Amino acid sequence: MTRSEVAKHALVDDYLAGKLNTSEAAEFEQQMHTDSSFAELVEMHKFANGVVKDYGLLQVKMKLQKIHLKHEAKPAKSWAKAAAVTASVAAISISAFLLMDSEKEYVKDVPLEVAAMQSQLLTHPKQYSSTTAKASFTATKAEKASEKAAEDPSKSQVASPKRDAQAVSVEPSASAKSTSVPTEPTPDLAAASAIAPQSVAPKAVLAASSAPAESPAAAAKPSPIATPPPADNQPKADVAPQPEADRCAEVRLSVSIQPEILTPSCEDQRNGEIQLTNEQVFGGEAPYEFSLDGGQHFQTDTRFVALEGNRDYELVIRDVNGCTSDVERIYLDTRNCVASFNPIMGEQWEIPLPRNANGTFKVMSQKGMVYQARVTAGYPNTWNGNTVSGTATTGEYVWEFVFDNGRQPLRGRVSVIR
Amino acid sequence: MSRAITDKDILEAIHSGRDDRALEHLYKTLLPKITQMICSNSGGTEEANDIFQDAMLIFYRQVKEGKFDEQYEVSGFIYTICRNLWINRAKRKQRSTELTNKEFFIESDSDIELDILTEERSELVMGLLSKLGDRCKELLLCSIFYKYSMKEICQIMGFSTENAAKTRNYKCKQKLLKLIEENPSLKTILK
Repeated sequence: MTRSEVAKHALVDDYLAGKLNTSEAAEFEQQMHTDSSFAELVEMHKFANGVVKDYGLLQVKMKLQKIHLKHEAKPAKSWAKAAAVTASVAAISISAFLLMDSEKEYVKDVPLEVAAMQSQLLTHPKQYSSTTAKASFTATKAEKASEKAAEDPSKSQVASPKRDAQAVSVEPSASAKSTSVPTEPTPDLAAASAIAPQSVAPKAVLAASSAPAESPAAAAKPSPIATPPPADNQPKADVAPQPEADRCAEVRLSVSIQPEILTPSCEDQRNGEIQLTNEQVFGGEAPYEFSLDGGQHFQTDTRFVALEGNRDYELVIRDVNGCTSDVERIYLDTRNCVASFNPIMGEQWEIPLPRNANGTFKVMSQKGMVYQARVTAGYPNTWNGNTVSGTATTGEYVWEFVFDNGRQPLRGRVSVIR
Repeated sequence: MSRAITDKDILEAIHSGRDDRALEHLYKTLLPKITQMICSNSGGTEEANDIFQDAMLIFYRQVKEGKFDEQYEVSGFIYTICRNLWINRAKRKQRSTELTNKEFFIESDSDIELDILTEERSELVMGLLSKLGDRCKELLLCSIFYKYSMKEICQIMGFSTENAAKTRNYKCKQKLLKLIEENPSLKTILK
């Protein structure tokens, strides 16, 4: 790699990104005309950039699918539908996973990993002693969830009967949002169905479609009139000029809390985590600072560790100009880090993963890895005791979950009793 | 503080890549309308969601490439793309005889369908990028898709100097170019 090579490629990148000025661009294009190998290089870069851009769009699509899943996951809705969407997300991730030829190395590494994990676990014997006799993990979890549902309305004023207990606990921000965003799906749908019987909506659509019909190019470039029926006029009227002094009034700083950023704490311990990213912050100006105690103490690190479970945290974000966000309540759950179940009785163990987690779940016995599964968007979230050599026999197993995004892996033990 | 999200916010969010809230906002406000439009024209809710996602990606791409004309309202623009996509799809299914609402289907000779990421294409892209390694993938996304400056990339990805980021970016790009060269068939499929 010579310096001129790097510079040449950087120039191509700048040209394709539109960063060259007119005369530089003209000179660049001249060179493409006279030097066919250079033109070919530019073509290759353009193609490669196209691939990366498509990849970026696929990330956006994944986000949309996640949003869809989140909203679809209302109790009464059919499971099959949600599963179908998950499956399509999974299909993409799995195909990607299969292409990484990391499996060989991975198997080779296992014995060492087991040793390391077991020694780590043995250093905290207290943590694992008491709970082995507990009933099936799934059952305790369900009880806890219903308790929580009963508590929550009073605690954080999130009284939304339509959401299941889990959704309430993970997204305490939901009530705050529904007051601020004028078009929540439910009232919107209600409005839409109220219009439909009088067939007003189709007419409005026709009115909209007649405009693009006049010019053929308008198909891809719709006319501004083509606003959907219940038009949302509010935003534009809202932008009124503000006095300079009141600059934070213009700043709408907020954060979108995805369940997967929360790692519940093990019961009776303080090892929960909240991993924020700058990407989740919306509005204001980077760099940001974060506080979990309602704005008393701020830190620049996006990761909060050693957190107590089963309580609320008050997240506040501050941007570089000192503007702060509203308080966002985050409920951090606890998880059962030790569990036992009986696969012969058809019991399953619910793996205590953060919701929507992506990564690899592994179970190891003294002899090495006995089970491994890909987890995509939080599924599968159970282990039924199946291993590479039949149903797991009675004993203690060590499990590990390695996140795709490089987060600290989760580890614990699970006992099989049969 | 908690005001409605404006079109400007949405476009800014897409440019900056901090788009989670904007995407959710568009999902919540637009999908019900699109579902209604498609369901009253021989479609179903799952089809509506597919169309919505395809349209969102077309919109997103146009914004990213600076082709989106900001005089259009974002929701109106996406809605119209959805309608056109649905027209094309319904035609292809040759269900035009069953259509409840014939006038609804205007003639559309647009080639927006070409901008759609097909499943085949998606898989090839994912497969190719997965061979790059996570850090390279993220770096190229930052430099090419989000168009962050090297300075911003240093911050986001923790490079000590801009030069280090530049060199790494160069190496990742070379790796990708090599992967593409090794697979000449890719070029014809992804064209």
